Amino acid sequence: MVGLRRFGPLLGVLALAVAMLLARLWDVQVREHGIWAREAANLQRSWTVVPYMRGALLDRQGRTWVRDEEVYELELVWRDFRRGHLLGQVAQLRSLVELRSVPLVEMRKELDRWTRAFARLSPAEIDAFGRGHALELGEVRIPAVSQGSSRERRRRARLARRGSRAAELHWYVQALFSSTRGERKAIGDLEDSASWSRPYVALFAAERRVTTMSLQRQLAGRVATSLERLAELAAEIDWGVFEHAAPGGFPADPAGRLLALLEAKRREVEFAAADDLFEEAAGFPASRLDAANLERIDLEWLRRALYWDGGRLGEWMNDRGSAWPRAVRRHLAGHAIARSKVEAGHADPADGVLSALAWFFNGDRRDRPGSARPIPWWRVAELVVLKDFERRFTGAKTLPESLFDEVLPFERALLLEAQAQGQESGALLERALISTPHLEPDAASAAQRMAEIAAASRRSWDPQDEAPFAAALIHWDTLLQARLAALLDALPLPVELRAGWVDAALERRGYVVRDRESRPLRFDRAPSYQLVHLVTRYPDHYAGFHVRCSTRRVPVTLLDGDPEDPRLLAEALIGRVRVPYLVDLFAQRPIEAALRERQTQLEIDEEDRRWILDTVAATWSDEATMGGSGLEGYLDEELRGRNGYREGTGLTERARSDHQPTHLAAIDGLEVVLTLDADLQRAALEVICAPEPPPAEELAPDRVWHDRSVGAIVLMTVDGELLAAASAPARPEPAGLYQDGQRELDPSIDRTLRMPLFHPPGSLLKPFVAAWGLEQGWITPETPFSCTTNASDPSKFGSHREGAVVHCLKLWGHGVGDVTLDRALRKSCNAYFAALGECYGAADFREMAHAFGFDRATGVRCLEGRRGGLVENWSAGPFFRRQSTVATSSMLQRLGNGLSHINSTPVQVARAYAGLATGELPSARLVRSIGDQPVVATKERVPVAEAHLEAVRRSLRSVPIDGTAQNKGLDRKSLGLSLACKTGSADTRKGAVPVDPNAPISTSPHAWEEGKRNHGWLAGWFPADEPRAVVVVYCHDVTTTASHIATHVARQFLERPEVQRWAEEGMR
Amino acid sequence: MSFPRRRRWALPRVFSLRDLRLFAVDWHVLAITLVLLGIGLLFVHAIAASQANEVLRDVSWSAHRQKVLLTVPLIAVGLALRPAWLRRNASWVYLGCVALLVAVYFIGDERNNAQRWIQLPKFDLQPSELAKIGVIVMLAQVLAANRLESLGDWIRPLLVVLVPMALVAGQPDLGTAMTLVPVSLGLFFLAGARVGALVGFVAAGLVAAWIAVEADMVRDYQLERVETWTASYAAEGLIERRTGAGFHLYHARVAAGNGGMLGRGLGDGVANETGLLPERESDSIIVVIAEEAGFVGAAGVILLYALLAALLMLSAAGIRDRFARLVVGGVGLYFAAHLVINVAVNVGLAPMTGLTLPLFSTGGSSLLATFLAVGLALRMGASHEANLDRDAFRSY
Repeated sequence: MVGLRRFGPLLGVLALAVAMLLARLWDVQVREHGIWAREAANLQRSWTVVPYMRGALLDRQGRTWVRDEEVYELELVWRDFRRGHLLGQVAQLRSLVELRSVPLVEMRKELDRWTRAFARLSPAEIDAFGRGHALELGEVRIPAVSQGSSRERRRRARLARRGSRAAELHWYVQALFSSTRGERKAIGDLEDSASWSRPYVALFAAERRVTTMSLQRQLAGRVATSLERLAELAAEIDWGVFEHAAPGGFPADPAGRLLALLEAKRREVEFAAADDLFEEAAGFPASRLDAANLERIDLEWLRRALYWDGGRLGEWMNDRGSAWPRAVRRHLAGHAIARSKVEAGHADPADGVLSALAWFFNGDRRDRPGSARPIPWWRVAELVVLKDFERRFTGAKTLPESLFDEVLPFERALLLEAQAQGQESGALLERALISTPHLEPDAASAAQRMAEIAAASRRSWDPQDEAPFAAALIHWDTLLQARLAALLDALPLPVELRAGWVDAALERRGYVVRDRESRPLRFDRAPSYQLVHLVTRYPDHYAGFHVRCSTRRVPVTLLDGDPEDPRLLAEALIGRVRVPYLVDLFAQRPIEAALRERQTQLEIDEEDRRWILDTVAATWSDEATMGGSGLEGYLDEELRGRNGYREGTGLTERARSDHQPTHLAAIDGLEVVLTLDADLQRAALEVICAPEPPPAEELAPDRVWHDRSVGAIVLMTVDGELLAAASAPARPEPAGLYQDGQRELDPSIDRTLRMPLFHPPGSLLKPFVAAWGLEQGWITPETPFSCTTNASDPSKFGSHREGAVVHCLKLWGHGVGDVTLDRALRKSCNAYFAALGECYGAADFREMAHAFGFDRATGVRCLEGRRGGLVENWSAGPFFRRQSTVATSSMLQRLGNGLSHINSTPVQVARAYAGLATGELPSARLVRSIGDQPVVATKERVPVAEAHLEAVRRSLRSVPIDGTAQNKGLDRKSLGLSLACKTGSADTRKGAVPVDPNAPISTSPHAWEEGKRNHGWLAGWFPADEPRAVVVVYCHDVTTTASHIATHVARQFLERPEVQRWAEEGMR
Repeated sequence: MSFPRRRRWALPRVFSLRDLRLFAVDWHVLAITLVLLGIGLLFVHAIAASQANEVLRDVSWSAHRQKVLLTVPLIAVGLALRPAWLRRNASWVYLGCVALLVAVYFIGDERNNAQRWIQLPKFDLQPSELAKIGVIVMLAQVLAANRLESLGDWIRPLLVVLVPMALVAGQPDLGTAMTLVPVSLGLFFLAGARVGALVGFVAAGLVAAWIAVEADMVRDYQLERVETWTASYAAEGLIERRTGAGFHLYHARVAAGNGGMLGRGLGDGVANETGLLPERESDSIIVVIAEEAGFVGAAGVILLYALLAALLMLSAAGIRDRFARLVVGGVGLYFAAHLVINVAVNVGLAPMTGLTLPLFSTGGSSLLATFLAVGLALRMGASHEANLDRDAFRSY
């Protein structure tokens, strides 16, 4: 008979409980099935963005100028080295025994002795060590943890982690013998036998059926070969790039260097593991405390957990204690600016700055949901470190609340009150910055400056912009550290982290250490072929070293063969690639979040898939390469490909047999063929960067310019294709040199399309002034003109047109009444062209300049769309921009001579000369084809009659023979090709170049008497009668005329075999 | 004058099948036990053969099979154990278990900051698993002559429960310690305790827990588990915490939820494919069952398990011997408590704690205690002992 008086209620309770379980199970499995199935699918689904290869840039001959190349990188996985390399194994064994990180360098010296000592250990000895007993290791004796009772010994052994250390000792000693799994198992089976007390070397010898002596000899051999292989590896490494990696410099021998580098990497790994454990226990990163505050905390548990000695712990504390200011200077100030800019797009810039700065001190460092904007400063509830202080530190709950309040300026009641009263955010920022050191000249101007930086539309910033942000971050951190010091000092020192949190951190120790040690560290970005071969061919010999394949933009066509400093030919024009702007990366975070949201749907329909693919193609990774400056930037749209996408299927898709996993191949960027010819470019660059000294017979040389040239050479086909466009200097120069500061500019600045300073073309403009004058009927080729001696002061050098200030450089003038157009052009008579200039009205000059392209872009930026990169300065100057400017007589005289009121770049000049030579003004081009599509060439007819142009051309053909370029080696006989040209000396400033190049430029009112400074030009075409190419030489800021400098440079260039060959073979 | 009595050999005094009436053995209990064991073996095999385990190699089918083969005979050992001997020696059994619990503190192996295991040559013994059986037997013995009618009647039974509970909690193994609570309360109730008294105990326990929290006696990470549990009951909260404190809970919920109504099929669940679900072969095996067999399969298993517990209790209800009744009832409560706590934890009805699901989970000590308990229950239910106590004829 079953009685249920007591069991009935229990069965009822059981039934109720089961009903609850089933209800909940129904809830999870049926009602929430969609949610969890989606999560499950995403645990299985994986995404990979397949990067594209950026298109290559080729020269007109199809030679690669710059391209993306698959390159190898050498990586180190410390865990693999430690477990797989004999040196790592023995160092770890000693570290386990001695409880300190035994340096590899120290280990190397005694590797053989220690290897033998560990091999002689018996498993029983290691077990005893694990239980807290002493361990004899050669002449070293590790004492027992306690001489007291067995219980006390066990307790201390546990405290010293002897058990887990012993387990590791077993593993590493067995690893010394390169043991197999079978051998390990066989030796493990001996645990209960008497053999357990025999040395490992004897046990392995018995297992392998060899004598102990023989195995010891093998072990000694392994020691020797492992060191030799390390030395082999070290010999293949390029040490130049590692100088920064080992503080205090490297040892002399390569193997020593390698060990020092390995040691540095090991330190990096260990410190990172310590960071993780500390953060797990403390709730904030160690780098948020300065060294003094870190020292106030009891970190013995951390030392023991990582098998460190006190020295290593001290090193870590010092390093992390100084990490904040270091990080601020290195990147956090930049991050603050980027965050300010993101916020400034939505709010008041000053508010944005304050919120961005506050973000770094917010205990909850999350952004606004779905946005990259930081939480507003007035909503920061708790500061970092202080947020968890009470929960994490023993006894902290007893501290008065006041110690946690109002630490940083932005959380002060005063600031909040002021905000509530409607005070403007600029003033609030100023208040927050008051008392911040190094903010010059005062907080108000610093606040204004910071707000301006945040509000600026530029997405990048100058390095000096970071200074006020860095000052604020460092000062606020100082305030925080002071308060933390007060808090910690209020507790019994050393302050202990609460045991529960330390235990929780220690629970994760194994995972954290393994994770950190398994992460590959970049070791060598450009290993040699031999190095890659060694590591990939013999992976067992070089445990821990791995080779990874990646892509990199590689310059191929180099300025010279200097491997230390590979510089591209035409670096300024080609430009550089860059990583995305931080501001853009921040700004795309909401898009990334949306992308993640769609990627993690349970099922992805076609519309979502298209959106995902489009978004993946349109978003950048942190390390993405994109066009920055020059053609790389200008042609970025074409050179950039589209990322591919690979998606691993989730469970749901896998269950559907018809499902095809998404795999979209990457599309590489297009190849771009440039108009530049690498040989001609190199020739031009070599000539302009290192011109030969002026000839001995030269009467007015500018030797200083020849020593340190600044200028440009352009070679262009008459169709507008730029064959060479070289600028000097092409390398960085020491600052403080003479001249107009041009050398202090970024040496990568291009001078063929840009005008860093005033660039009048001088007499190069005269042919155009003449042709236009002929066309307008103001003159004929035979119209006579008198260029006489300076009547008012014959002792003055040169002559001038009466009433004007335009000088001719010929002492006695160019003749009375017999100066015709031809003579004026050949001899470059300033007085003639001053008079002709006076025939022009302002509108005429503008019309003439427009007709020959002086006031417009040359066409090198001919592609559609808004594009960055390549920069061209094409404005001829204010006179040409402002139609209303009235031209005075003096202005017209100067304009007639190409002076004072007109600017032009060498490429503008080259295009104008092509127009003069052919009657058709071409658009200049740097790009021949993109992919397989040629870039269309355009030309326009010059609105001047052919007869008038020919009259001018005729004179220019005579210039090398009987003109300003005569006897300069530019005639057909000397050069081997016929050249029609014009020289030009464009006065720019007064004052002779002092003898001492570092002396200041004269500001004397009589400086004109001391000498003139001008730009020396030469422009022309060849062959003279059948123009194919235009050459322009530009010598920046010289003390002599073009005849004495530009002609020599032009000769050197045109004499170059590359040019001669090109002229002979005709155009391709 | 009497003939000197021949001294009986010790083993028959302990083990004997003489009083066992085979027809009285509750074969339903044995059958359900074996069915559940079979289901468990099927899923452990699937876990061991899974894609994730090929990489992780953290579940060994052969090791589990060996453990089962080694421990299944303990059903027979339990069946052969003479109830009379057990009644007489319950104190020694209990003290042995307590001694092992104490020994853990001295010779126990420390893993993951918990000292719960005693290393034996081929086997790691977890004394807390055996202690559960020890407590049931000892409580049955104490309560056999104690109806908990006065305050004084509570002292011994409470000591019997609290001593091992404190020792287990100190290892620390709060989950196992908490299992003893429902088992003990159930036995108190079966022994005659008033419902009001039990409610008072539960209330006192809650107050003590509150005081412990307020007095900062509970470790922060344990509190955090409770916080994580409350915050993670809803799906959104759990997904938000999936990489931190809610890692285990998240993967348990994902796997269970992914199963849906009919399941993903044996070995085809995300738990087995990714291997991310911690303790998928032991504490969280019910989740693997739920995922691969679906709600239908999981509910079936839970109901079958509940039926086992219920049958044991019904079997106990029919026993006149108070000691035997309490032992069999205690074993029923043991299964019921494990079922309810284990499933509740895995589906988010209770804070995360480590507790096996007997007959399913791997773990030698758990298997050992379970089979021994089943054997004991079967024997107690089928035996007639001469010495019936005063309650023997009272209807419960």
